[in-house]
Amino acid sequence: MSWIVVSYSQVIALKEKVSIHLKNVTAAQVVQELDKQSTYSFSYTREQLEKIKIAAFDFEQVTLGQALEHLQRMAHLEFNLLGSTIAIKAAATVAPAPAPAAAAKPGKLTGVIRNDKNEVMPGVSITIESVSKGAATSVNGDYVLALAPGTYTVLISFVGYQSRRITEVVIKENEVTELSVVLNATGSKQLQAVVVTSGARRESTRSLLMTQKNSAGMTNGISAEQIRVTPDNNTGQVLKRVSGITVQGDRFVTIRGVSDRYNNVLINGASLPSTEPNRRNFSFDIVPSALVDNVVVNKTATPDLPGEFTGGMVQINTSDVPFRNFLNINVGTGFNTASTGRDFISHKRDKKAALGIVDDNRKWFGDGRAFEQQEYVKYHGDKDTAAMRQIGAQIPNRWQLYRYSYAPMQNYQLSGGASKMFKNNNSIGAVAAVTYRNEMLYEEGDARSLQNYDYFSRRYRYNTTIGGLLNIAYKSKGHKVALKNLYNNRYSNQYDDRYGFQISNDRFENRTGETTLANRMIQSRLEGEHSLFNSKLRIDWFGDYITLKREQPDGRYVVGRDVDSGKHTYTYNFNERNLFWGGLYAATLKETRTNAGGNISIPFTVAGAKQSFKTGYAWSKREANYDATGLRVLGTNVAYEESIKGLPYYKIATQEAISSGDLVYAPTYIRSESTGDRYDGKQTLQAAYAMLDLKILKQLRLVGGMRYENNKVTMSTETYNNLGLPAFSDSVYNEKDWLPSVNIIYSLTDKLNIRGAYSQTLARPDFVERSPYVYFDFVEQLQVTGQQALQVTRIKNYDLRVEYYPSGNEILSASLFYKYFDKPVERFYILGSPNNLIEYWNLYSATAKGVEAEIRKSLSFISPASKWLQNLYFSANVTYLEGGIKYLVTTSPITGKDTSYIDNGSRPIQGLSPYIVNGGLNYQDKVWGFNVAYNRFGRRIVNGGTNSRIIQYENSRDVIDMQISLQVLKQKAEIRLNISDLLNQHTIIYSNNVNRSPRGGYPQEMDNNDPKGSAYNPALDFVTYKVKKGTSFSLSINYKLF
Amino acid sequence: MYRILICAMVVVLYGCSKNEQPVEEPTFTNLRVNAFTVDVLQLQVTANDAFLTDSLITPSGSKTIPVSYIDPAHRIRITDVNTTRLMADTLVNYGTGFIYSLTFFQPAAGAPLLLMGPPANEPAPAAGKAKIAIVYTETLQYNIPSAIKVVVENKTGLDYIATDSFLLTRGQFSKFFLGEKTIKPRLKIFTTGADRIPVAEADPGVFSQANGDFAIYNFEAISDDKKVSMIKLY
Repeated sequence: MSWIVVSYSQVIALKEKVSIHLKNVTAAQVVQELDKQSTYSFSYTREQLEKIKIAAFDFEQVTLGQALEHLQRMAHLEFNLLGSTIAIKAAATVAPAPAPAAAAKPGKLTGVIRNDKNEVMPGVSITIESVSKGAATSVNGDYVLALAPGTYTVLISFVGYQSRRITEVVIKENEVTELSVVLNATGSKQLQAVVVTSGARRESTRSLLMTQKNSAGMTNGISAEQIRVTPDNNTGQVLKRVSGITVQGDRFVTIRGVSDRYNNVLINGASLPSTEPNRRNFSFDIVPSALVDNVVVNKTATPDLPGEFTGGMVQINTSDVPFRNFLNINVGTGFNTASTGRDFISHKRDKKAALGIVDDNRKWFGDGRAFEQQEYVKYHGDKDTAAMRQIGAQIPNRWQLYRYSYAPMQNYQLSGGASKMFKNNNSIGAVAAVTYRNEMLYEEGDARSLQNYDYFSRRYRYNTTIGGLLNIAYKSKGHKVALKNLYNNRYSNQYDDRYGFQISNDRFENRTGETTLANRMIQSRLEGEHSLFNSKLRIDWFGDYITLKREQPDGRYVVGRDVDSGKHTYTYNFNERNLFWGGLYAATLKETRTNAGGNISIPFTVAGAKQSFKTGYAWSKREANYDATGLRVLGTNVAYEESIKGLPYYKIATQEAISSGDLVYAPTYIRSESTGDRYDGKQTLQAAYAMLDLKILKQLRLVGGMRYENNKVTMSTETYNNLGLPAFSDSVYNEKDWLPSVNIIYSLTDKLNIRGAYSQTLARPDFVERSPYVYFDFVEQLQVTGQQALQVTRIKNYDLRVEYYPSGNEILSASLFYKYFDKPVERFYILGSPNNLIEYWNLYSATAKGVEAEIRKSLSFISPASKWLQNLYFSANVTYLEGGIKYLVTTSPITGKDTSYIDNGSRPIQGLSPYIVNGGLNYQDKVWGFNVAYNRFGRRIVNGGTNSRIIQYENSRDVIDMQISLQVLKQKAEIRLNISDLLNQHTIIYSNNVNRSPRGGYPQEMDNNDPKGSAYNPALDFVTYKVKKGTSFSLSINYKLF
Repeated sequence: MYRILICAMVVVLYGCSKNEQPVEEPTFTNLRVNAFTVDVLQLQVTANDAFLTDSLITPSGSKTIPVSYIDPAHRIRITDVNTTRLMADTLVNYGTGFIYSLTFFQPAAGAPLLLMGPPANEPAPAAGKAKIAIVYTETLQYNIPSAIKVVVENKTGLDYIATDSFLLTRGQFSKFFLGEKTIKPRLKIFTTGADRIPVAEADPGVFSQANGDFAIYNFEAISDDKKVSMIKLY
């Protein structure tokens, strides 16, 4: 077995002696003669070599190397020595600059060439037969050729691969024709070259099919070619087209019914900080679809992927060198039925809220801060009231509410790209985009909490998102270097107005809270890809620097106790120090991530089949710093307190009252012993892997290997007491994991695969989950606390799938999967008074076993002649899942005494739905298209635990989304109508507790003996939150400026 | 294309317009309406034509009604339920506090009601001083002359020393006399004749709830030991 790859220089050094005396022959005949006389095998495209005439080839007792050198000179051939095989091909002709047609502008032919392992192929020769034009693919396997309008035959060839001749390739004036091809490797002993000929349309379909079928792991994806023919204008919309993915509001993704915790998102290969404060997710709508090169959703692991995912991993790669210059503008607007016509209430909106900028005087931390929190706590401890008055008077009186008219959603997107070609098909290019979105959303409904409250809730939201992207890259046949930058600024302001009965106070009350969040994330990435030694070695590397700043400035909370139930006449508490009674709250998070790594891929040949070995290393350093504190307005003057009773809060808590000392800002928090919490977290993650991609038999492929991850985390939490003195709580974690994974693919036919996969993956707790600091959700009256003892969840994944690809755009598949979670993390819901608690805890273990079926099928079978039906696709994805948990019982439910045993629960862990159904109907032709999507997921736990009565579920609901698109102005513009959540069913969070006390009054914790079990029963279940979020309609116009 | 741009501009401009209006939240108080009359009356009270009560019964009546308001200015009208006679029609600004009191006083039978409040043209008391006025009516169940001589005594050193005196006629308000803010004045009441027969005494304690600036008191009763108790009208 020999797999050493040797270049041309070694070929001409071959010492075997040959003698050849031939006249008026072809290169093919010369090679045939050499083949007879030498011990080496020759691989070539006979048809190519037959065309090369050689007048005389007359040599006596020369070395094989010398003979080949002569042949190279005479016939312009290229050689490669692959073990004992000499591969020969005609030297690629570099495409001359396209000659401008006299009457018509040229069109462009572009595409990507992949091999049968789905690897892109650099250096592949693309030849336009009739006009003697050609090009070689770049390091990314892509190519661009400018051609005069007409119909061409294209020959695609590469050493060791079966050439493909594509006929009827139609190039239209000033249009781009897509032609991607998959080349199959030939056996190394095959001397007789075979050129497969097919039509362009058929070849494109085949390419699509093979790309899906040949993926190493179980993946679903959508390529740039597919994205280009859809009307989608952001990545959230693109993802809706990927089977098995549920996209909520174009933004948040659930894969295989598995929630945020067990999914991972890589953008340009980097794991980015979440764009949301309390969920691990990424807002996909910031990336315009025009700039997406491809989206891949991995459902099974391979060693080269980060170990931290279970349900799926979404990889979004943005493009860098566009195949043509472009500039698109997109303008959109829309409305939500629950929000339109409403007055929107909040405290005074930031002056530049429409640009996502927080007013300087609202910032407690960092530049422009109102005061230094720890210094203020010390003044308070020292009873330096003069200093406190002076500082307190600087905090603006923002207590008054303002009314704003509803404004329709606005969405703008400007994206463009430019590239310049140099000789040898080298190119430099850049793409850039700016996106803007602003929307106002309203929802109202019931909000109840066991032991705490029974409210009617009104929620007003104002969101602004600004995104930017700038990629610059240089690309040649063997190399590519790219600088990619991503910017996201997300501003959200939420005002909650709740009125109802507060149980702990035994009063009706009005509880209002305003929370502003401003997230700013910047990612810069430098990456390179190199194809060396004539594509025999592939190296890629990257370096990332990512910063995230999340501010929660100047939160305002007010609790008004109604003097007379239902009259809305409020008095306010100026005595209690706990933040539960209202006040101000601010927090800030700064996070930086630095990532670096590289991968090497080495192909080799075993038993005549192409194999590959890949290894890589990744290093990541992450540092986060979080700081939070609160203030309460307390009274110091009884007479003043008496005199202001009956006044609205904004007329009481004035800067004058603070200056005069009648009121004082007291440092406080939700815990009596704390005036603010802070944590610093550091994480260093190193990973290395080795994997083999082996074609053991012609039909059997095995991709597997081992990944090693070494994760070090240090957490330091500080809690400040009333004197401003810190108490430290530190913890260190060092977790080393070997993560094996193997994917076996057995190709029964060209269209039928059987796949088996096993992998070990991880779900690591985030900093916030391992810090004992408390996040106080004032409106929900919830204390959210992390646990230092929280352990990593380790998951064993088993998958078996049968997949059938009737054609390139179609798939039928069925899967069985089993997942074993060791120490899964759940948000435990715990009852308390006056606040309930959420704590992160490990369960002992959990399992999830299920089946998944997927179909994407053209409806052309109904009437094959119908063009309309050929463009109409039906897709569906159904997952059924059974889950179980094991948990540690430390207090006997019978005796109440301490105990310790493992008990079983028959429910999925938090975030898993017992079933998920996705269905869709999609039509797309050159002028118009529509898409109808249906989604329903089974009830899923949002807050878990071991007390079945208080576990909170999100009820299942039916969601139908629709899109209609129309191309106008000679396809330069596109109008698109979107309807989201057409049915507008209630969103309901509930628990299986009695909803009314049998003795009257407010219910306590008690079994409701629901015959429906944990399913939602409106007659018996306790509803925690019930709202209708409205149907959203939006209209957008996309115009291609060029 | 221009149409698209114009539409976009309209959406942008509309979206950027703030339409910001402050929300004026109401102040609430428990409005306590007191009425002290010579006649026995059943009174109806309205504020800005909004009904508050029709069961304010006098000669000494009080009703507390919770009210919420944005503008503190209110037109208070009091009507005799039985005769529909308008007894008072006045403008007031509601004050803050959990309870805000309005006191109406009828100084003589058949007379309209007067809203008790701070005097219009009376100079403010000097620092540390407070001013008090008094009145008595025919409802006072005691044999008290229709006119009396009142001697005001304030504490100087250890003793109370006369600092002011005036004649007072039934149904008439006295002039405002000065007292200390902290140590209230004492009143001695005599007949108006030359013999100056003592009629009664008002101890400083009856003025303990006097306001810091101006206060008005009405005689409530005179005990057997000739001690006067008073009702604070303002």
